[in-house]
Amino acid sequence: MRKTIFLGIIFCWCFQIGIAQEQSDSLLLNDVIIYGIPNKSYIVGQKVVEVDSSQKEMYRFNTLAEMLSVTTPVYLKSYGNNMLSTISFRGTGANHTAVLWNGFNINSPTSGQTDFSLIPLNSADEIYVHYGSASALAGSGALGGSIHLNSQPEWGKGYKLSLGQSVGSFGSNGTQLLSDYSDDHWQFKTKAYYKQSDNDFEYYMPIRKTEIKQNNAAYTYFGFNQEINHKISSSQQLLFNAWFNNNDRELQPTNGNLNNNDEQQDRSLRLAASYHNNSKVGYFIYRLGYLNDYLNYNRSSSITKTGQLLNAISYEKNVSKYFRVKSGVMWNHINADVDGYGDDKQEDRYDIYALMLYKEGDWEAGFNVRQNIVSGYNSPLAPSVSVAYLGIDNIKFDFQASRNYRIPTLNDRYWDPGGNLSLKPEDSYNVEVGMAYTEKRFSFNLNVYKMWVEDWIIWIQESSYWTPNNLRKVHAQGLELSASYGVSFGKLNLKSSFIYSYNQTENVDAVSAGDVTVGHQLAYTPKHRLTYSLQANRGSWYGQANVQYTGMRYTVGHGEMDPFGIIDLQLGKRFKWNEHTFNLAGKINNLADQEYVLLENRAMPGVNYELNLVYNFK
Amino acid sequence: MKQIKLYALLIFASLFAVACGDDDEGPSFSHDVVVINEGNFSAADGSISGYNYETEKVENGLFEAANDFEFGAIIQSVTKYNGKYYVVGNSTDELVVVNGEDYLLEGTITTDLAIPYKFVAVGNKGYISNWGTQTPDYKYVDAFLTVVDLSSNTVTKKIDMPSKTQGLLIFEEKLYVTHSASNTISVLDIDTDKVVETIETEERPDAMVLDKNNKIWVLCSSGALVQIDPSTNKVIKTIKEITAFGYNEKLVINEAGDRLYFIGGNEIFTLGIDDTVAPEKGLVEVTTAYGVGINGDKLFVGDANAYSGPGTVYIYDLEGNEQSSFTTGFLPNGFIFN
Repeated sequence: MRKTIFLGIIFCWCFQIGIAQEQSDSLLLNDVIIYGIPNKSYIVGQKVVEVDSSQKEMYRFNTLAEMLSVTTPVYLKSYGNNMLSTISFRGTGANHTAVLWNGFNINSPTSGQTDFSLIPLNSADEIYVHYGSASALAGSGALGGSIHLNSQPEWGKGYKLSLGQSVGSFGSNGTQLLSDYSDDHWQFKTKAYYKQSDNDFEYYMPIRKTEIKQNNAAYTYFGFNQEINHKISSSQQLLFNAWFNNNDRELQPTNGNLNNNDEQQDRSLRLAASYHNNSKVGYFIYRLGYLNDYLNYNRSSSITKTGQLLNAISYEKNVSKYFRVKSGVMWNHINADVDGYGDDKQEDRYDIYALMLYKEGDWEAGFNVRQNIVSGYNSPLAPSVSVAYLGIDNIKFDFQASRNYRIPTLNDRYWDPGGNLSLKPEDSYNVEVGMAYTEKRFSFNLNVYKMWVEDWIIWIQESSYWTPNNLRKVHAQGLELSASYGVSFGKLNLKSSFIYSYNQTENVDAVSAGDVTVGHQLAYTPKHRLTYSLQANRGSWYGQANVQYTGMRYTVGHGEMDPFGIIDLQLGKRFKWNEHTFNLAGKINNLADQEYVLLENRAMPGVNYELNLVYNFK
Repeated sequence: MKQIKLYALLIFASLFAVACGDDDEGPSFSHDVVVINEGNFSAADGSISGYNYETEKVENGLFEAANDFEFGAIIQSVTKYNGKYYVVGNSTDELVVVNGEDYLLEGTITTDLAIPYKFVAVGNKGYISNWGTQTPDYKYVDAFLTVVDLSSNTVTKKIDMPSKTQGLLIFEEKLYVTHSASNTISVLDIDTDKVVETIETEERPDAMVLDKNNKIWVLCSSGALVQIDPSTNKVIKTIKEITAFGYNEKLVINEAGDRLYFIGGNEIFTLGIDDTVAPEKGLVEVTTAYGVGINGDKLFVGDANAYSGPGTVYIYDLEGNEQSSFTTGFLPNGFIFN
């Protein structure tokens, strides 16, 4: 039984792991089973954590940016409250985290980044955080890690309804709807959400010795998810998912700037359809995706439109009792209509990959490889080798070594002027080891990594304009240490968990005269982060506290930004009548009223409040 | 036990992180040169740096070191007057008054300012030029001057101006105001604060200096240097085909008052006051010429380094031979010589 608990994952994983184990023990894959994120069982030697359901519940009216920054070691660089928020994972840059939605990379093809403030938390059923480099599995840009947003088909669950309403400080309110019906063959699931906020929080300006009120930071977003899933037979499924999101916001200026009235609209439509067929021949999946992104900056002063059509096919087979193989190809056709490019640009990107998993006794070994082909340049072959050993009681040892890459963005290649068609992909090597100890109430994880990135692309001024070049060389190393512990006192259940991360990311070479960053930590990447979470429930009462501490960060000019700590607190009660449940929860964000910024002179709010009421039927 | 050890380790690690963060000191030596660093637009991290000739040492972030907080603004200009630095915070609509000795904050004027650009003073009276309200398409309307009582650091008056106000110069009871979105200079009587005359120049007049013959030189972004006689408020001569910066022009004059230095493109150009044609080539070139200063036989150039990192200050002799350089804050746009 111990062997089934094979990854040292802290939270609620057991269900999916059980399925994965069952499947790999049989030679034939009879039933179509979609478990977790695509290719998850091929992630050997690294850590994948699913975001805890009570964390998702606590931040259900917030964005992924807010939840990740408080509950995981990643650092979100935000231009203010609910403003552009890009990620730094294991000390890497904003486009060094792959963000995948149902297996499709949704990083903007123009900037190579995801703005995490544009992803409402409740738009995804499952959120996984995959630590570390894994281009062989997740493709371009998976250097620091990958974030997976997933939907999960369900059968025979009948009708479920959920309605949620939230009111909070700074004139914010949110509304959510979920309607979900499934019988043994069909599932229709609809989610809709809306949130708006004046976001007129006050912040202190020491030079004026007074507080001033944010006057250009209001936002409104809304969207929906529609899933239609059909189980044709026990061996065939057809899945469809549509996600639309629209966000209109004023752009919060630097502190004290009351003249600014910049604004931005972001709109995305994402479609994913897949056909699964599992027979004695093997497990086939065909996936079709369409991703449409629209960005209107400042009343049409700059418009960015991209469309991506994705086709992917994969084949998986248990070759023997011990050996399992999956292989596939993906074709991504991109069309970009961007003001800054002059004319429309097309790019075709192809991925071909093979994933191999070998399991025998206490040993697991993975060998994955991916080749990415883009017209105009060659990406390095990205292999990974990994081993896991589960031979000692409750303890698992992990090892992974990999080569990884990030391809140039469309902006890097086509921006006019400056776009550089002779750019090479960034090239990276990663090696990591891990140890996990798991018992019933306690778990402990330690992961240590080293990473080298070459040909890191940065924009520099060459003549009268800027142009990107493969100039930077970065060496990163660090560790994540986590532990969780659950305890019960009568009816009171407590669970507490820690994650400490240390990331040291240094520039190895100077890229210009006066480059003071050489040999120092990269800007806006804290060396130390600590998150602590305490969850409690007793009968119908539930509560949760999240604490995060972020160490000193350098600014771009090598100034130092003070460390800070944030405490978010929630207390709720569940009321239940038959199949009707009401959850009423009060939430206090930034309980200690800590003054802090994530980027220089971009204020974040002090203590603020939220009241949430959620009705569930079933 | 295992858990306790682990928790102890985590707490220790976080303490270590805090302990490694602190090492501020105040300014430690006198500064012959103060460098004005405008700051990065998206970070509003304007600052001032000090440089000492003898020790060749530079200290950055003087204000922050003294006060424990930064300006938090885009600093368009700093004027030293009566032993105080008057710092114009352009993004924050502030005039910050800083003690000239210890860099401590003395006061902040925050009313009746709208995207201020420059400060000048006479007696107990200070004038600030304001671009005015910014429209969504980045035009400026309702430009004005703010008049400040320097004894109380309060605003006494707003003077409406016909167009975006930029450069300011006081000469013999008159205030000269360039309108960088038009082709005019307003002349005000400083007793009445009324416009007494309007001078027509080339398009987009910007920075002004006074030469040894008490003539005013105006650098226009359209590419011209205009010499004006303040006794008649007439244009004496116009030198065209000047390479200018394009906006927020930088123009200085040597101590003798007979040679101008200004930024054109990424070069520093120089022109004698008796010259009649534009200089053909620059004296020195840097990556991103952003600030210029002249002190005796030393030419100071602020290089914004492609706006991609902290700036560099280069010191040249008057022939343009580099003598030394140092790293400063973001976008060094000017110098004050003590």
